[in-house]
Amino acid sequence: MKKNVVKKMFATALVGVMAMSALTGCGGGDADNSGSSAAGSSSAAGSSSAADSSAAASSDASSENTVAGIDGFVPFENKVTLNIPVYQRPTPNGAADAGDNYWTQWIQANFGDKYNIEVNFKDWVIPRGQENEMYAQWASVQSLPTVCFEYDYPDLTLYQNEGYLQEYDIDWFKQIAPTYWAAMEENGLDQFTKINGENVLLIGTRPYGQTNYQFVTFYRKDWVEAAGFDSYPTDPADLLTLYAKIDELGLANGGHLLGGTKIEGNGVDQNYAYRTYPQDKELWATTGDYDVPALPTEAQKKFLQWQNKLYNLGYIDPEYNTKTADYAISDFVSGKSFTYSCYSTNTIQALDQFYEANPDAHLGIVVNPGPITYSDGSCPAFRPNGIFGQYIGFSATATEDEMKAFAMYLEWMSQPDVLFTLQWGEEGVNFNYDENGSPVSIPVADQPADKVTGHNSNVDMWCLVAATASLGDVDKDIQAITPLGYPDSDQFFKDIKANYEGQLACYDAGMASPDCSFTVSIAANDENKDTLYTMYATLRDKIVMGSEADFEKNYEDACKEYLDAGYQAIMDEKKAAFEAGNYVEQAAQFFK
Amino acid sequence: MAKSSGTKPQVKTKTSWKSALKRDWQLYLLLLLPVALVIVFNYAAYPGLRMAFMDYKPMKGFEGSDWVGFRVFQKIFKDHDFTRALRNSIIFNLLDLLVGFPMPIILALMLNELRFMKFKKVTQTILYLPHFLSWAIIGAVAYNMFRPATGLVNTLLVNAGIIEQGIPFLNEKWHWAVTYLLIGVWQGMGWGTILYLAAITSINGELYEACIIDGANKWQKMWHVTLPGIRSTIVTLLIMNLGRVMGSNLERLTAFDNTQVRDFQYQLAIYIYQKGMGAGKYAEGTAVGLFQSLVGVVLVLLSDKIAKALGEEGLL
Repeated sequence: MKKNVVKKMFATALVGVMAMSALTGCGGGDADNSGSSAAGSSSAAGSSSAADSSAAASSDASSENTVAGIDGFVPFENKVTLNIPVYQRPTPNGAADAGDNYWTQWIQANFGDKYNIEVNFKDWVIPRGQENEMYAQWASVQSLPTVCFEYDYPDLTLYQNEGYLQEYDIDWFKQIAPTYWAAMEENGLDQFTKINGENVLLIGTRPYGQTNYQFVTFYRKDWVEAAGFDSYPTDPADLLTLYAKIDELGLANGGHLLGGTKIEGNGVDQNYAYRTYPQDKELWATTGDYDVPALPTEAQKKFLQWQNKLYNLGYIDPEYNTKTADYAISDFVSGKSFTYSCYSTNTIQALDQFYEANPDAHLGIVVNPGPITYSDGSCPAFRPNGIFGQYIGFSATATEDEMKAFAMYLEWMSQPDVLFTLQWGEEGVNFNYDENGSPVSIPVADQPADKVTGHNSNVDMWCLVAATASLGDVDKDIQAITPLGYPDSDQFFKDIKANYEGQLACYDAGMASPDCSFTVSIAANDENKDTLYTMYATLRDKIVMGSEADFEKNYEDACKEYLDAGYQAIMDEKKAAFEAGNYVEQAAQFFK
Repeated sequence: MAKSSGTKPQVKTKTSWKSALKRDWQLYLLLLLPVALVIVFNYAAYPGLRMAFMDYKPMKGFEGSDWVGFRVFQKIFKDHDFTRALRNSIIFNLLDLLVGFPMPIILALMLNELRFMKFKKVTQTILYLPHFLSWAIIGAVAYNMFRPATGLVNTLLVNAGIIEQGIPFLNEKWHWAVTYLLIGVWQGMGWGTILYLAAITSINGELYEACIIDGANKWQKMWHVTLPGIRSTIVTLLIMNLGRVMGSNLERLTAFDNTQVRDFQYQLAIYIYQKGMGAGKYAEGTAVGLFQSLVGVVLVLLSDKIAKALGEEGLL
């Protein structure tokens, strides 16, 4: 009997243990032992000492050198490993391994080997879009790369808040990387290095930050002409007329002429064109960024109303909420949709396929007409890229030597010849010079497979220095991203140039203002943004896919739910930070 | 020539662990890897449960993070998303149980009646196959088949004149619920028959012979012999399945995600993944995981007790 009870107890305990253990795999194991000391020594209190002593830090290398910059570099006595993240993006089959390819090896050979540094990319590959998850996972085992970086400022404030970053000393950095720092000063970036009062950020430059002209929307010029229009109409009323005509003529081959794919994450449904300019400054600060969609704003309401109208007119695919971005390409290539948007480069695979499938078709690029107001009160305002390139912070687990090696890396990469080679590759292999002496990329398919400059032109490595390549002349820079070798290439150049000029005019007129950057962490933003991303997609689809008669009710219900789920808390915290003056604004802002 | 001792032979009823090990060492060797996996991935993770009671910061680790008692649980229970996820998990798992649990039993009974062996084997193989498809594949295929306007099923139905407008199988939440459950049944029922078929083979054949002599038909044989013969297996599996009522399958839910069905699709697995992994809130993810497991244990114990009260053997 007694034995039976023990047996039962044991069995019960075992079942309990097994069931409980099934979902508890998040444990840190013994990470706390090693991790806490690492974190303790390098974050918070440790960080300042690390930074302060960095000038003298280096065990071996250039600390003895009084010469600033690359001329003062000497190899480390003991090999230092530099751990640098690199984005992995969806690329066509056969794309090189993002963390181990000809160009990572080129960096090792031309920089690493020279200074006894192992430049390690392969262990720090981040699938684009999963930055937060990856850094959090690495942090959970106290093993961050030497630096954490992101294009979005709120992510860096999150990392600082979570203790991923450590301070650095500006004088120490300037001594090692004067070229990099000079570029920061020249672009006014040196004023934005602090988060929560701590000096943690290094920032890459972003040429032509007043615009975003590299992102283009191709449209079917032959359809526009067939519908009896001289050019692409930008006014919403004219657009509706055009759409109706295209629909009537059946040009979309039975498709929905605006196609549509599901939305997710941040940066979606931007409402800049629906705001009132000049903007109210508080509204700009509390709801004006694109990190979390500003559903309960008048601008967002107008945007969604427009989408709702297009959906109910049958121009948007009724199944768009289940379709991925691939469908946008296939619909465009198969002649079922009117437009296709992407970043412009010399070769675009979707265009290759499009012209092959539609040899008689002609395309144009939508041009920003400059600062005007349309018939419905909207305007061609847009979100400029801003002056900020990549936001970079030394990780809390980086040692003094690793920090120094990274500063050396930035300085080395800032040298014009190095940057040019990384951006363009090797002459005759990755690019050729045209008659004007400008480099022109060789199509990826024609580059030797083992030397291809990544399917993203190596940008995920040189983005630490500059967000886009620039030859210092706008015409040359536009030529460098103009799709070449297509029937409409000449038109593409003209359209991109006109779009750039239109955007610049909008910017000068105050109809394009960069988002507000807070110098303190907005905890409610970090806390709620993931929930709100998912919720926004759900709510906006209900609104857009609902009938026009139900729009007001659907919108009001959605706003209430969205505010309760955390957006109100975000606005309140941003308002407090705004009123306390804890924010930065870039030049040329125009507010009421 | 063997000697007769004249005494009653001693029957050895107990085996020492040493002799058992010596005799069955190959089996113990095979057991080693699964046991190691359980120890490493389940038991070794136990210290991590502390996280549910801490304001856990990855960079501070366990030593540096503050203890906060039940504050994480309080926060979760007040979270609207959690209550929605909990409600959906319980409802859909109970529906899964209601619809999905009897299907393998029915199927096993039917397969058992098949007499043409080749046909039986081919049928079994076809039925097992969906179990080996990942939910990502099933989801992608299902979306392509069931799209309202361009899906294969709706196109066929519309062209055949059976319906005028496509049915939003996966694009409207009520239709989605039915489609989701039925696809789950389709995916799991074949594989689920294995245990029942094994249990059926252990039923004494003489019982069937006696039945035939008594004039029983196929249905009566099934009802009076086969089903009672596998009753203990059914009860055991039912108890185990009840323990999973709080669980949910992230892969399956993700494969069938779209914005129009999240009222139902948002379940605990999604909640844990989004809050825990996506937002880096490990404490919250762990707390929900712990809550799920504890409720699962209570349900197992409760159902075991009920089964015993009804005269069954139970699990424990």
